[in-house]
Amino acid sequence: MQLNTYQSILGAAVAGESAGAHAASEWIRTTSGSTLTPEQRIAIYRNNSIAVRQAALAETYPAVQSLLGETYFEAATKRFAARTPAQHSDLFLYGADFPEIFRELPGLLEQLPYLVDVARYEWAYAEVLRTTPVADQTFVRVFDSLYPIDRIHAFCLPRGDDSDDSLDLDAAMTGEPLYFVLYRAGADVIAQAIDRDLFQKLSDQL
Amino acid sequence: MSDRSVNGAGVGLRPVHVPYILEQRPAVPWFEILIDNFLYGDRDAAYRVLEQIRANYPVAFHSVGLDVGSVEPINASLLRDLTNCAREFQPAFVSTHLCWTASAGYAHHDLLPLPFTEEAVAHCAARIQKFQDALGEQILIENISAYMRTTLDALSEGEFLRAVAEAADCYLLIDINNLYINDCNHREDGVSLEQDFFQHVPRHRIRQYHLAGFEDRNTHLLDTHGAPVADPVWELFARALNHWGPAPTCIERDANLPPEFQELFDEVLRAQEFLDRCN
Repeated sequence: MQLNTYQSILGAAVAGESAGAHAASEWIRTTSGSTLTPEQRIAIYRNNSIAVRQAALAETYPAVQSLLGETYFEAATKRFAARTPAQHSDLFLYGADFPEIFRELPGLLEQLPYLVDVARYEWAYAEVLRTTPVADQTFVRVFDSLYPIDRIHAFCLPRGDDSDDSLDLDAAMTGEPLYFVLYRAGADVIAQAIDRDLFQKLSDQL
Repeated sequence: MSDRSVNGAGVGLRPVHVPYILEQRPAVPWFEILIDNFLYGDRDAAYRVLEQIRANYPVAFHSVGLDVGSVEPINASLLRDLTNCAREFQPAFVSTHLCWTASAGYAHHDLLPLPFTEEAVAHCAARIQKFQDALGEQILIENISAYMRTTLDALSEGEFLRAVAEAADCYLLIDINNLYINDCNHREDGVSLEQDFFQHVPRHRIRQYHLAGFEDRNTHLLDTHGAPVADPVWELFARALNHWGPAPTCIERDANLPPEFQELFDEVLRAQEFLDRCN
């Protein structure tokens, strides 16, 4: 078997494709000294790979983790990571679509209606935080939400200095969409409220 | 610090310990840098950390993304960035794993095993030579922990490692923990991996050792880097030193990191005792 065929088959198996697992299991050695089946051996790699992606999501979405609690967050990241292989070696690029998984959990959204927006905001926040500043070019992301998402995010971040002591969500709700631009100032990410026109203008440029 | 050389027992640098290290300057002889983490994301911020570390300590670079064994195209931007970074920070070594991590549009983020075949030897050697040409120096390749062997294998792991190193004219980083894990996980092969390695891996190629912890999953040992170095790994390290001789040795810990750096430093000191006894 050629090396490229070997990697194509085993790679598909590790990514969760059942046809790949079936094909790979035919040339994975089984011996009398081990109880592990070929499928279990593939699963070790698959589980390792999923765990790495889960860890990447935990690093990108600390506020979501704080909102959900460790158990629910782990379940959500496992669900997403198991069906969403990474496409790039840079794990900072992994997980842009993670917020969408919460739309599949309507019961959860009844309790935390702002959860998808917090997650989307957190992805934008991470993008801004991780982009190397370039002279004369400011990397920005814009964001709109019916919720005071910047305050919810800051409240949930597990860092005392950056968190509000308390957040009265009902009082903070205006019923009108809120617009933000996120940009870097030194090592910090600034979320600045903007009006709808500027939001639209910036959105068109991005 | 302009000195490039690393000697004795060092430790893998992890972000949680950076503030302590920069403030307290523990007497660690050198640090191994997981260099991919400094090349992705905000590089300016990462470089500022690296500058401060390098000003006080020699370093070695360890990469998980070079993907020596993959049939996918070489990650040219990573190689370019790594080359520029190495020129700037002058690591003693650049090392990576003898494995593959990407295929057909997937980045698996795990160290997947190669079949021990002549084709794989030639493929890996050709890629390593390209890396070495870009970097302008020989790199180190590391044996990985593995959870499967295939019917395609025509060589033992020790033979494979030696064949790649000789074909590429590169150096070796022997991970003692991986050696132990594979010896346990594939003991059914009937040949002691330790014996295989000691017989086939030439001393003059070895430039570094790794030590780390594993987790016993009952059906197999899993390479987690999440525990202290286990006693049988220390024992194997002693036998490796006795057979191959001393080389700079790095304690690796990536999971369950102790909040206090001292716990890792204690393992560094223990590794140094082994090296001193060998000397």
